[in-house]
Amino acid sequence: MLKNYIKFGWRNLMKNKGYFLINVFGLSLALTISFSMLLWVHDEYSMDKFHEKNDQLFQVKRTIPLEDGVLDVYAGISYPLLKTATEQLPEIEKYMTLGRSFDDNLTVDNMDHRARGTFANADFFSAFSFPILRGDISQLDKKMEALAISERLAKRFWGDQWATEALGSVIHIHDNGDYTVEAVYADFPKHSSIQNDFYYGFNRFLSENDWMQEWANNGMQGALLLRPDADPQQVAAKVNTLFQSHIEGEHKEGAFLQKFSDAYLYGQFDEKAQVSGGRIEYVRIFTIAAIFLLLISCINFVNLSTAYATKRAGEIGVRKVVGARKNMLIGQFLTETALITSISFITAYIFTLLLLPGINAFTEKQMSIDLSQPGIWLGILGVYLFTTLLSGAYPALVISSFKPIRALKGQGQEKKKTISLRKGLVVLQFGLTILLIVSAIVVRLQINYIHSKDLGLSKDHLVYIHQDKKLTANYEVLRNELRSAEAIEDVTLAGPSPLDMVASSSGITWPGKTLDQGNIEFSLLWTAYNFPEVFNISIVEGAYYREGTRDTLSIVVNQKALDIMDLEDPVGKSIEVWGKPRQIVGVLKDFHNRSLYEPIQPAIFFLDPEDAGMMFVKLKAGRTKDALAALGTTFNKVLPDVPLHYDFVDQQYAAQYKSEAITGTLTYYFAFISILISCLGLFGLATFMAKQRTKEIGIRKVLGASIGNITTLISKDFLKLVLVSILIASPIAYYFMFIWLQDFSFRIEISWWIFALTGFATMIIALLTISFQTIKSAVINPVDSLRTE
Amino acid sequence: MLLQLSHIFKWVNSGGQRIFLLKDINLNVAEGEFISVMGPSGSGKSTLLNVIGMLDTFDEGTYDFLDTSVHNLREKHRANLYKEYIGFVFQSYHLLDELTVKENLEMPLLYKKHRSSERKALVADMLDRFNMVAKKDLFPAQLSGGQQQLVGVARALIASPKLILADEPTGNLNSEQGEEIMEQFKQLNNEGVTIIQVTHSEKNAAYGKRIIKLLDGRMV
Repeated sequence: MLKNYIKFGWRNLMKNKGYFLINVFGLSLALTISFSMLLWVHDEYSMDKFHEKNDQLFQVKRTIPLEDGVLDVYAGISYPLLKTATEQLPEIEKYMTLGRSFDDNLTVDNMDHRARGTFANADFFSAFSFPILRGDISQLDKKMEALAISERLAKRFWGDQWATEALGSVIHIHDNGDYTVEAVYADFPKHSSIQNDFYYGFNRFLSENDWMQEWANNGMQGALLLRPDADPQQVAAKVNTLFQSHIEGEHKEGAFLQKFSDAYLYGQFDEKAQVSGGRIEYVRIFTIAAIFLLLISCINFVNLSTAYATKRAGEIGVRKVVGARKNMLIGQFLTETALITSISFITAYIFTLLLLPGINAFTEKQMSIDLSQPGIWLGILGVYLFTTLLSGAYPALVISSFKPIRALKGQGQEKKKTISLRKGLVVLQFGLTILLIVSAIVVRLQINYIHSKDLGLSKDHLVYIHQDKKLTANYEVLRNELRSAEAIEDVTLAGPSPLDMVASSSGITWPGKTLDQGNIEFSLLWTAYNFPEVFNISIVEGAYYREGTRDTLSIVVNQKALDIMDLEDPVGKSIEVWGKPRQIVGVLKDFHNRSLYEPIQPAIFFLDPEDAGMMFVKLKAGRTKDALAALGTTFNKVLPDVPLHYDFVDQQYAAQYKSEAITGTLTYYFAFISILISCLGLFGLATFMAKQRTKEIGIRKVLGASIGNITTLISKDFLKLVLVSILIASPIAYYFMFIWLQDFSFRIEISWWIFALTGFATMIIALLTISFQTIKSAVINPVDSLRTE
Repeated sequence: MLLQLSHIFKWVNSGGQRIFLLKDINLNVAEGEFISVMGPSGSGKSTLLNVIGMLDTFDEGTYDFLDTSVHNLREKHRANLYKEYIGFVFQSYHLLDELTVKENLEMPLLYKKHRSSERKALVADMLDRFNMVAKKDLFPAQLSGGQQQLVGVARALIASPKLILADEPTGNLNSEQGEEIMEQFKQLNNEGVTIIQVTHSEKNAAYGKRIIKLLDGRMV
């Protein structure tokens, strides 16, 4: 029976090639997107889940009480907390230190490679599943100069000989001294959010940074390995109590645990320090968008097949009269649907394979269709059943319930219900499309806004270079040489990046500071005297520092800080920084010193060029090429043994908003494809309707209707539906986009023209789609159209 | 007795008025009969045939088919009854265009869950009997009208029905083709198949052993 279903189904499809192609093309497109999304979502969900002890791994995070009971969440915690908690709480097996990664130059003999790394303790490798290939990782805790490197890095230095040559070799880390390779670890899997090619011992970092011993500092991140039987909530409570018993203050900071593998997708917290989102939102948005697309193409299917069913009424009548039961007809129509979905699946699979390299480059992932994984199979099977049943079930039911005599007379028995369902589906389809288009426009506008926003400082034509000891020692020479180059404007030192001032402290006191203000964090920036000049930041009051090396008596604040301190005539007033008095000499105009997700932070600026950390070189506009050449020559001349690595500040800034940029581009694709698929469906319906009404059109023409009259007559019905979907979808789209924008502290307004444009464009596209058919049927000679009846 | 209609009424309501399609039809048909139903357009011939074929319902009266009370049956059971015992032949043949002659013949058997070998044997018999072996792989559009109707008759016959209902089987055919079909009917009837046909032509009606005349839904 099935063989016959397939055979007849296939002939039927070949007889209605247009119908067949529209369905296959639309479904393949939607499925290709769905497959890609499925891969991406699967990839996102597998992040950090590969650790064998995944269920026991927890990251320690910190809450900071602000005014009105609002809690801020930070990932930075202190080393004494990690160590003491592990010593005192039996539920904790081990602690692992998580350092901030940095890029540096590693040299062996004359070979030089740039790599990313940080510090760690030996337990880091055993608690997480990061296997050691060669050597003894425990040396990382014992020897100050011990270094662990990845297999990848070892291969870069020693090629195939790495296994024998790496251990015991000396690697010079630029700016950090000589290290001996004590262990080589397997490259971290691509599903690890931690990616480093070298680790030095945490103890070394500790010995060089005394302040790490303070309970209240937030200079590192850390994670805990709990015993398998431990209750994470109880442990978290104990850690919190321990932490609070060691710190001072009225409104004490707290500590809590987040499952390590959750941290990647759920990185945002609300005012009560509860998880409120993060990357998971993008995962959700794209899952929903993919389902939308699939729905839209299934709707095409339902609409077209119920419409075409009337054409097949005769066939159904005959089949019923010669003995087909209802369930047999349902079987036959479902088989036809399954044929279409199967062909679409194969096409989509091929499309996805072809697109995958591009998608990988775009999302910076290494996804592949791994058919050996049952998860992928289940996913594909699920989508297959979903699509087939969603598309096939309703038409099959409608068609199989035709009454035989009327069907034999060639009358499809379209109930009013079916027709209004079809209209409803067209509305739904276009509604979803409009939702996607509006989202695409809003996301794009917000991204443009971020890029063009006046940050209060100039980030263009600036490159930055890591400031190491040699550079610091030769800075004045280097600066003078560079300034003499015609294409270079100026050079300064500042750090951490002024665009993302990550260092902060609450150790600032001023006259009139209240208890409530005890936890206010001030962002910190260490700079050279000409920092405001190079970054084009205006000085509101007083002046910036005078030329010099270090000033421990003066301080410069920004406007926001001044607002909080509420000082009149600030210049000359004295405040305390870490217990030492300093005199305010100037006030800088506010600039965006954090991402646009956050408001501008209160900040203080030190004159301390040696500790800044980054050298910024301002290039003359339009002379980038010359300037970079001059930078290269000068740098090599002054610092011959330091390899030059520079990055552009504006590119770095754009990289901060990469997920938004990717979202924006993807939403464009989604919107484009959804309108394409919707129009395919509309085209099919219009073709069908035009055929259905051939006789009516003929009669109208005989009675004197013009081509214009006829075109309007047919188009009107469709455009009405599109109009209704615009009216319904616009407020919904507004609502969703409004919610999305709430994440940004600085955001665009959603203006009415977005909806007007979307509505207008959709109408025009829909009109163009159907007009081809309507005009074609309107110009037919009525003699021909009436003769067929 | 094959079937028995008594006091059958069928009407539609149109604009507040009741229009009778069938009025007080009383008809007994014994096995082996060959009945021709005649009457002008709109007299209710096709409606009567559809009622007998259980494709259509009626509003009043009783209908017994092989001792089963059709008027008491639900639609599903009625459908099962006609599928088992009745074969239909249509004026416009109603062959499926995308199926070959062989497949068109095979279709009713597919729905009755015959085995593949059995189906092949029955189809081969039918092709033989109607001299269509050479045409078995052609599609309906490649056949003449008379040949198409022969396929239609063969298809109606293949599931061995007790009754064949033919609604103007020769209406679309020229006289020579029509005669061929009527000869087939006559032969079938001689073999014991009961036939009820609707026709306009006196000549074709004469093939029947009994003629029923209808006028405005009433037997005259």
